[in-house]
Amino acid sequence: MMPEAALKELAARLLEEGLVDLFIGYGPGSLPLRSTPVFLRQAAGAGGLILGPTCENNLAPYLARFPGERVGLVVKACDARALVELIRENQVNRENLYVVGVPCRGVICRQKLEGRLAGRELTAGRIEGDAVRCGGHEWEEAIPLDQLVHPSCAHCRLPAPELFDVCLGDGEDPVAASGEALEARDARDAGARYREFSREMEKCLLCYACRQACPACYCPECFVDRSQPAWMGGSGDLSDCMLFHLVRALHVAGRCVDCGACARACPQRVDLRVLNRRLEQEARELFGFTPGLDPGHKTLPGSFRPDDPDDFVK
Amino acid sequence: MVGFIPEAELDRVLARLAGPYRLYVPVSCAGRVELGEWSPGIRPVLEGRAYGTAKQLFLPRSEELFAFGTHPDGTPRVVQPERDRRPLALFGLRPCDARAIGMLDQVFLGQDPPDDPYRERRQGALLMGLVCSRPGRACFCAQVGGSPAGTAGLDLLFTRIGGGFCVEAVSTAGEAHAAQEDWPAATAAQVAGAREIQQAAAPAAMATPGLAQELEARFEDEVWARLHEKCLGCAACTFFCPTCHCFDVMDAGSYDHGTRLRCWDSCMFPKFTLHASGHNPRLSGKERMRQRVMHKFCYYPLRFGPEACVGCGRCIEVCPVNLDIRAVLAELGGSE
Amino acid sequence: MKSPYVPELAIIEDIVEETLANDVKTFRVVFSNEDTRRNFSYRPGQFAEVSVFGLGEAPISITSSPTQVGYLEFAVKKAGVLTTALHQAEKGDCIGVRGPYGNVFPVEIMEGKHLVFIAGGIGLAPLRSLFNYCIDPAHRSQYQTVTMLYGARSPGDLVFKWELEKWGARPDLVQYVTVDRGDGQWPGRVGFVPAMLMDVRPSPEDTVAITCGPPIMIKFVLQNLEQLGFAPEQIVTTLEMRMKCGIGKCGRCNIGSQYVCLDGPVFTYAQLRHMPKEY
Ligand SMILES: Cc1cc2nc3c(=O)[nH]c(=O)nc-3n(C[C@H](O)[C@H](O)[C@H](O)COP(=O)(O)OP(=O)(O)OC[C@H]3O[C@@H](n4cnc5c(N)ncnc54)[C@H](O)[C@@H]3O)c2cc1C
Ligand code: SF4
Ligand code: SF4
Ligand code: SF4
Ligand code: SF4
Ligand code: FES
Repeated sequence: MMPEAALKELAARLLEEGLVDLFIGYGPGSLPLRSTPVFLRQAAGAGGLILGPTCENNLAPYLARFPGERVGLVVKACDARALVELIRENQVNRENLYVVGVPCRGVICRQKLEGRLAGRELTAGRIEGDAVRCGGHEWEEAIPLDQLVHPSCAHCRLPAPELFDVCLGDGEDPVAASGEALEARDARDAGARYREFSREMEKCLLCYACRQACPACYCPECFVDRSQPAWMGGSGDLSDCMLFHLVRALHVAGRCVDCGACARACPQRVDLRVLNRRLEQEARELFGFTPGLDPGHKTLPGSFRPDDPDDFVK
Repeated sequence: MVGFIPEAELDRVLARLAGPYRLYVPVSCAGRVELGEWSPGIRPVLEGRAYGTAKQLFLPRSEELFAFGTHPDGTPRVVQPERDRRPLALFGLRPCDARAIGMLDQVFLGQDPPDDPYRERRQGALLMGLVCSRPGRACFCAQVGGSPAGTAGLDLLFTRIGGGFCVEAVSTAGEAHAAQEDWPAATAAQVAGAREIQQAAAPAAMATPGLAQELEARFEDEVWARLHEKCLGCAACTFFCPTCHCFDVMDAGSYDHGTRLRCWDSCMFPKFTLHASGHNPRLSGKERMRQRVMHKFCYYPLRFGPEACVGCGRCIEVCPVNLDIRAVLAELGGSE
Repeated sequence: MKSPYVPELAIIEDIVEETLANDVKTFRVVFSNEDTRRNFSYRPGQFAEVSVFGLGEAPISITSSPTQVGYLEFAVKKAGVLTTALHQAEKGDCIGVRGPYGNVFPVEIMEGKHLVFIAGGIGLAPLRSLFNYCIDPAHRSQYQTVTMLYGARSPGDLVFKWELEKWGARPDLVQYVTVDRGDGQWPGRVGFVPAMLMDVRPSPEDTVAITCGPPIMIKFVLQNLEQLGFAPEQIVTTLEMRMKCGIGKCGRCNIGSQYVCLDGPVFTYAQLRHMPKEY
């Protein structure tokens, strides 16, 4: 059975049999090539569930809103890794969860799509095999999916869910991981990197869509919202934006699974992965820690070893 | 009188404006239409509405209200900022966006005392609108009392027909400007062409009479619990909404040397209504979403008349979870 | 043209520590500019935005009465950034004040009536302006009996003690004071304000009740007043919402279609009952 059909059936069964109180998945969005999170409490709605490259949101952040309820949750591989971190940090109770792993070939990057459309308005779109069929007023174009997947997905090295109660489909081939040219970027001097960082930060409006969409940003009160002491002005000037993003990056280091949900949520197309993928890489290379794997392992900050080469923490 | 500006003349028309005015036009910016300051060589984009709003020109993301410092004897000193005195001119403004500016006017100028920084920018501004020949995928202006050929808030209305633009003055300021420009009159055929486009653009209005009163009675309705479910509680929708105008006031710097700023704020943020005592009248996403919807479709109309939504569809486009205000309205029994 | 956001400078002339815990202080301030001093006119119930430069501003009720000429008084409870900074201010320090903002107590409907003031904690601050206005020799004859019911958490939390004494000594005023908890030395009444209200049982006949205090107190006071037969039109209260601009622009203080900064902070219970319960 196709994963999407299997999902509909499974969600209906879980709700019908009372195995979950709530099922969170994706339904068709109101704009072409968009999906929207849906919250089902009755089996009747399960027929509207969808899967595929339009399912760009990470649904894990919603879990905090339903403490004590048994929730069925659709996770792609990266979402599952985010979930591992939330469980590791006692933010969600595994017992109350029914995790439905789904295959993923990468989700569409709306920014790439926009670039490709070059100002033409997309009024219809559908996925057909490996092609994204786009249409507008008096034009049509089929774009290969692998040209439109989000950079996080293009970079994804672990495209099969690690944590699940049921995994639908048996792992389709992911879009070839390209292994981005991080090294090339790092080779540039600090000034060039700072300029790039500033350019991204200048676009930021401090709307906090990135934070709200991020599974690792689960603090009930973000440091930016504290008034005593006030860590940040909040006026939205460049230094505020930099401060927010740098501190956020440090706070999510070791928990950020590079799902890209924050970057996709950003209405200003700020390239948040400039910071995040670097942190993910550092966690891996310096500490041998890949966020989202091995639920039995301690958290990254919680796994300090006395033989740490840096002695500033001692 | 309807004037006519040939396509090739547009550049000269804009160049003349750019001297006395700070002129903004829709420009193409990495695949998106944005409002940008005009300079020679810039060709306005005439299709699609801008991604960002025109409100940011009148109510910037962050602005200085005044600066403070101290005299040599230590007593404070307050200095009001000097702003660019040249009035703003906007070309290619969509009728929905012009209408939204009219709604901001009601809050910032219509209620005493007038908001001085806003008034400084708004006064003398020339708003030149462009009829939408093809509403976009998220547009629903007609359902909220607007029209793709609407003139509310505008000074001049441009209609693009073959070979150029028909121009009509739709306000006193517009008339004064048109008289000064003295554009050649459009031919009867050109006028007929413009009318045809305007009529084709304006679908039958479907505004919902009595929606505000109906919503007022539904404050406690259980529907709100469902409507906010997927909302993340960010400020994307309100920051990009051309009628949203909430701001925060804060100081930067210190007693000796600093500025008082106002910056966009949003009713979608938990801190928005949090009292110093810890009490918060809008405790959860449900109350905050209700405030956003109610403010637009109930509170603002009860106070000022029209709904504080012009159907531009920006909130639909920018929402990270595709929460669609049209669907919300449909659930509430409004338009659609 | 002066922007409405620019405050007038004012000097702190006097500071009174009101409570034992020292969390409420009353500031007497005088505008630096002579014209402002002369022209700043306000009525009971209004508030001002008080600035500490570098830290921001907060809405504070003008607790002095227009009958006190030449200065303004603010009673401030230490709550957050700005109020803490104010508490650190000293005599002679300069602050900013803009206003007055908001509506006023409906002195017209109160004329010729018995008045019952019911206040809790710092909630006395906004009522004090009206109270002093009504009991001023120039106005006292316009009202019948004037009664004050006031309470605080403990004797040390009672504010304006020196004034309570003064009021208590006046034969033309009736005063009841209570505390939630005594402190061993407290000779007076112990109990909550709403309970004291039921003991005093003011008659609703020809009476207006004016109340301000913590939300929980207001809730029970309103219930009890209704039980005593007060009609919603006879009950006046003042509300608090988070505010920034004070002039109906920043969009923060609304309850339904009402801006508390413009249409309030004073509302009758009759008005409140038609507003969404979101305050
Ligand atoms: C019309 C009106 C009249 C008023 N009159 C008076 C008066 O006469 N006297 C008086 O003392 N007060 C009065 N107030 C209340 C007064 O305005 C507030 O206490 C004041 O604004 C607090 O400002 P602040 O800068 O000290 O607090 P802030 O620095 O703003 O600190 C509180 C804020 O910090 C944030 N915060 C962070 N963490 C917390 C937390 N754990 N708990 C709570 N908040 C947190 C919240 O955003 C909160 O609003 C009045 C209010 C209104 C609207
Ligand atoms: S979503 Fe984008 S604009 Fe909003 S705070 Fe994050 S980076 Fe800034
Ligand atoms: S943009 Fe969407 S997710 Fe963000 S606050 Fe608005 S409705 Fe909620
Ligand atoms: S609510 Fe949405 S559609 Fe309406 S004016 Fe605001 S952004 Fe546009
Ligand atoms: S209250 Fe909310 S919806 Fe209304 S103007 Fe302010 S931010 Fe926009
Ligand atoms: S305080 Fe700004 S609108 Fe009321």
